[in-house]
Amino acid sequence: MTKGGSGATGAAFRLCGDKMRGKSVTLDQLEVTYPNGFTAVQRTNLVVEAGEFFSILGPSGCGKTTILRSVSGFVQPSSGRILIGDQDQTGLGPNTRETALIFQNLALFPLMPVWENVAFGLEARGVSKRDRRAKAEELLHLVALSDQADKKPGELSGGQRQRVAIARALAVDPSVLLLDEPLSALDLKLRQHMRAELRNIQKKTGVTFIYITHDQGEALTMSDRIAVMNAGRIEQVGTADHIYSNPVSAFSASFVGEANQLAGLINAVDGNMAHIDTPHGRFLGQNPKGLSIGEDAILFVRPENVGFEPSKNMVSARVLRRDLEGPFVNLLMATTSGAEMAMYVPNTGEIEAMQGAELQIGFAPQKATILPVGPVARTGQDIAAQ
Amino acid sequence: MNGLFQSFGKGLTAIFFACVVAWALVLIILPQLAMLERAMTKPARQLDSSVAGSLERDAANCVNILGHYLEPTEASAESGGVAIPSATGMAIPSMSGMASPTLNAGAARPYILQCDRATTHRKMVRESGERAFLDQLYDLPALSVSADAPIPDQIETARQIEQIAAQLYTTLQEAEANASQLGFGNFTAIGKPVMIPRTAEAQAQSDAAWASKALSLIGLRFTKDGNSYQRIGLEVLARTLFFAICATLLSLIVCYPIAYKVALATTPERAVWLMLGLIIPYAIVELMRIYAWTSIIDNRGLINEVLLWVGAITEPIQFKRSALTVFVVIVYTYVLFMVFPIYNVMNTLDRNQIEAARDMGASTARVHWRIIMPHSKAGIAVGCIATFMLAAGAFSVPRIISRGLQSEWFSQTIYNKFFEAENSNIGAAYSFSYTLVCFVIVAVFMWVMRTRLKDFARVQ
Repeated sequence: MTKGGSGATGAAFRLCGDKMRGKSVTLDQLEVTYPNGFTAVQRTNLVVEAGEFFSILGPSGCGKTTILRSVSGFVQPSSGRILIGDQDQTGLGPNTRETALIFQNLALFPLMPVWENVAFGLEARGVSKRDRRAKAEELLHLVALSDQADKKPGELSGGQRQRVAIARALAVDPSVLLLDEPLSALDLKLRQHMRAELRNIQKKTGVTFIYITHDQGEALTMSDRIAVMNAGRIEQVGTADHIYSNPVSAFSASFVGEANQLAGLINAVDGNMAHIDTPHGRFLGQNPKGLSIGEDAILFVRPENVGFEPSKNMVSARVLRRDLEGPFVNLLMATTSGAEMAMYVPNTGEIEAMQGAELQIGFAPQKATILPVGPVARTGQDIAAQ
Repeated sequence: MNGLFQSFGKGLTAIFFACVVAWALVLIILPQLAMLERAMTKPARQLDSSVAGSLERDAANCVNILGHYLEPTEASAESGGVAIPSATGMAIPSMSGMASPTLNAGAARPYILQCDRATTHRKMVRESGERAFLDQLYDLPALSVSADAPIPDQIETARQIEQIAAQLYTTLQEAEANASQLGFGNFTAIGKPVMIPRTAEAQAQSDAAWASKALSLIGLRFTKDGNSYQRIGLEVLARTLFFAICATLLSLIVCYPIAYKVALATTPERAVWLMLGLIIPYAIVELMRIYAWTSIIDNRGLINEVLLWVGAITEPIQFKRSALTVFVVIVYTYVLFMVFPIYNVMNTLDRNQIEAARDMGASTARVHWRIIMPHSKAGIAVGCIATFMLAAGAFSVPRIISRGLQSEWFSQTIYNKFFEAENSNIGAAYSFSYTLVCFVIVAVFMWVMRTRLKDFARVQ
């Protein structure tokens, strides 16, 4: 499986040369309301650049799959339009669009051998059997499955099926490849491997990838850009680094990565910084949204930015739980005022001695972000309680 | 087996197995064996030995009476006493035609009438009107007591006949006692050709029909010595099988879209209503369901009345004479047996596969041909088998719909053999062969469709 990596590169170049065949995707005032009255996607404008690996990240039910299905043509927008390249897709069915969709469960055809699966799109286009077979072989070589052509999908492993689905989607020479959480069924190691492989294939083929996921790890590692989505609305679009370091909404901050949340009132504003009064103390943080005095706000600070070094924002706490992650130790702290704060500290072996004692923890104002109150991502505890 | 023990314990498992064995024995194996035995048994008819026996008695009587005739004084005194009982006792229908001429000639010899019956070429009536003669059958010399010969010669001939008959009687009795009561005669009766008397025009008209040509092609109709023959049993069988296959195909054509609509192309809430619409007709008794159609297809039924009123036709269409009407009613009557297996299998298809195929540019027809049909193959096969067996065994539909205006279905033939012709042995043979033929057809169909028995479990 892994040995295919080098072979894949050569085949990819043979397949498409160095020409970029991806096209941009534009959502122009897109809105989707289902017949039962549920608005899955609020009015949305979005431009996905040609040849980009673009992820839409959001919790389940946020409307990201609806966007994907609108782009592929299975869902008709209730207003607005979708352009692929400069071409308006209104009224075109899924079988006439330049998109290919990879389903969450892959939806391979179990009764056809692998090569017929891969060549199905060509069969639908009336390509002769010999040419179909040749193209299928070529694509299977690209995904390092040349020797599996005559097996049935059921005889393959999860990762192999994954790659068959990719080959099948690429066979129709799509300009845009739409992926609906295709890695969610795989186990961790394979998932990590497939991330690299997907990224690799995207680079080689130059096809625009729109990748739907609720797994921020996938989005952060693979994407050129990410859109964070919640409740039918895109909250933020940007590169992974940008979104992680500079969230613009409470949801973005809480959904992407871990973040400690301290709610309070803006007490003072100083340039692009602000002071916030919370039950746990007064803290200083960045104020990207320009909040003014007296407004309700939440301060977000990432666990890795909380430390024991003295800084402007200090709070006393004791260790509630200690989870060893290997190179890091995750500490759950309980402040004396009753808040819980998570922190990641390097595993230097000193933490054990601290247990039980009251400690001073703090974070730099530049690393804390104060954002207006809004919906936040549900924690694991919320989901479990449901 | 182990699983059963673990889930139900020994007692329940034993009861379960006993029930299965009892069911298989009482409802499947024994009835089929009984049917087979009955089919192999020769139909009851007068035994040849009994014909020989009665001939022997006739000849003896003849000798006796002619002996009286040699002594005329005694004979005239006893005339009434001897003649009458023997005349009534020997009334064999075949002889009636020969009675009158001898009556005139025998005014002086009233008893000679009896002697005429002593002939070795005695006619026997065998199955379904076949006529046979004793002398031809057993290679006897054709002797008869002639009224014109001198009396002693007549006595001599009668004695010869008596002797021959006695000998034949003994051998036949022995042969019949040793003969097996079983044979395949009833089965071969299905293929027996029957001469159909027709005028030349009627023959030409019949030959022109395509069905007749097809039947001639497979040897079920032929002409010999200027007479046309039909193997009626096989003809009805072949036609019924063909019709059953037609009805099954029609049913498949109608039911596949219904099953697709309910299983894949409708929201679950609406599918419930569609399902209900399919099931409600089944709350009506089958006979009523079929009978309801007569109000539609009658000469003064709904369709004809509407068409006449609109002016599209001037004469009512004779729906009752059309085989297509029977197919339609069969489809309606057994629609669920086709829809449910297909629906059940289709329902297990991952709809993403349909969307994936559409996404890759497949037309609707290709999606059906490459994705939905291969997936539903087992359901289609099971539905076809169920509908075929029901159509092939259909009795009430052809009977109620055609009202005797169409040639009968084989199931009707079997019924008639059993209950109308009182020849249940032939009926049993027909029925058993029909079961076998249908079984073979189903087996071949399953092989062609690559259906395995385990698919049946998957479907229901």
